[in-house]
Amino acid sequence: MHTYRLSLKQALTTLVLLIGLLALFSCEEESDTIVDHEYDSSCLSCHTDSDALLALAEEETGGGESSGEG
Amino acid sequence: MPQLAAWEKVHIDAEKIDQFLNSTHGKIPCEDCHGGEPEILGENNEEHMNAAHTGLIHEPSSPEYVEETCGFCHANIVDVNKTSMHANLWGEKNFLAERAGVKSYDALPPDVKEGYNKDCFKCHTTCGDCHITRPDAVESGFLDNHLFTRTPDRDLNCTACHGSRVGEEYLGQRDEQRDVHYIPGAMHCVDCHDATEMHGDGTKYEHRFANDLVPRCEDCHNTVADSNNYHSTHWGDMSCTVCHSQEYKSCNSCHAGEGITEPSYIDFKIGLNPLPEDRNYKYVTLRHIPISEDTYTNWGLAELDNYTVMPTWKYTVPHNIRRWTVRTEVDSGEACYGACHIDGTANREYYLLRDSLEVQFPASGYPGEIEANEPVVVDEALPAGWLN
Repeated sequence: MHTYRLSLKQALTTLVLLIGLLALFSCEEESDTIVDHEYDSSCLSCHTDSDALLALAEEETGGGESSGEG
Repeated sequence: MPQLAAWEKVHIDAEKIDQFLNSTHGKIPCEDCHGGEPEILGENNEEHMNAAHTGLIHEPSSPEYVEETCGFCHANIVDVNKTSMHANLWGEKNFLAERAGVKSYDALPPDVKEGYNKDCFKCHTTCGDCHITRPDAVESGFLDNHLFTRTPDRDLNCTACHGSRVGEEYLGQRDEQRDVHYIPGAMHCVDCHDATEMHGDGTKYEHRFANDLVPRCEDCHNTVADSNNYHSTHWGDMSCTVCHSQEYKSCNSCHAGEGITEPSYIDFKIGLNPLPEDRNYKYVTLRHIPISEDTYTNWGLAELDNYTVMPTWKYTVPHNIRRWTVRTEVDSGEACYGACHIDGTANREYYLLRDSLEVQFPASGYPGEIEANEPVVVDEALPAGWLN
């Protein structure tokens, strides 16, 4: 029966590869939290609806018109 | 610029929504930066809005939140920006303290600091004021549908604050010609004023010219020191604007909480450099800043103990540069200095002279003006015979 032994160089190379892979997946996981975010459309449903925004602004201020030149 | 209505400021065009959602920042949940409770639903739009806006953070890049929001990814920029001029207005604070006769801004009475924060500090900037919205000073509103813009917009950001002087001068919106560097579609403010200058380098500088981050004409025009007789004679002695800027705006007075109280005026003054340690010229262009001895009365600072400690004519770099100006062009056959050097009454109007100051700022109404500006009037510095 053959016995396989790792040389010091092979062991170190394997260790470095493992650490590299671990780091790679860590980064991907962090990136995925952003990329795979399921967008909650509740904010955007209103902020893309100009009629709703205008109605809410008028209710709050009784107007909603610009105050003039800045 | 025309202001936006309240609803327009927070409206995102439905046709742009995919562009936003596909952008890097669009992949971050709204509530990660803005807080609020988007999951809570109400019976109607108003209830829904109120519930969703519970704990809403209107400006996530304001100093109390910025490290957790922008700083999460842009830590280095957020870190250096803490001490930047744009975020802190160090120069204005330091000059206020110095004129009030106290050691630092922090040593000013609480009422003065409260007044400053309310009336003046809205001109400081946050990340969002340049990269997402118009600045607070012009009532905010999205630049482009909440898209994050890497380069601030000249009109909606830069000149929204720096408009009445720099913007109008640069774009030629008054009687003079536009700045020679204004090439539509080619040069932008940031081509000279880059991100390092805007964000700062982490150092707390005393005022805006007390560092090397501010661009200088010579940074680009670095081979013209001997390119003509004018340059050979005056290079290093005069700031470039002494010859190459047109008339520009000055203001005389501002009352805290009320704004400018005297009409601005267009003028041109060459004076002695009030900042020789920071800018190595002898003669520079100066503008009168909007200050008077009673500027801060509304904040409880009835008198400025040290009003005369520094000039009210301040170092300025007009943004209306031209190669040929009324001082660089002379009629055929006339001496090269004919349009600039004082000869009898000719060209006196270009120089900050003691007698003209006394006329413009009579001691009865402006008791400290002459004393404050003694360091920058040119009377004793001019060549012998000019004022005879």
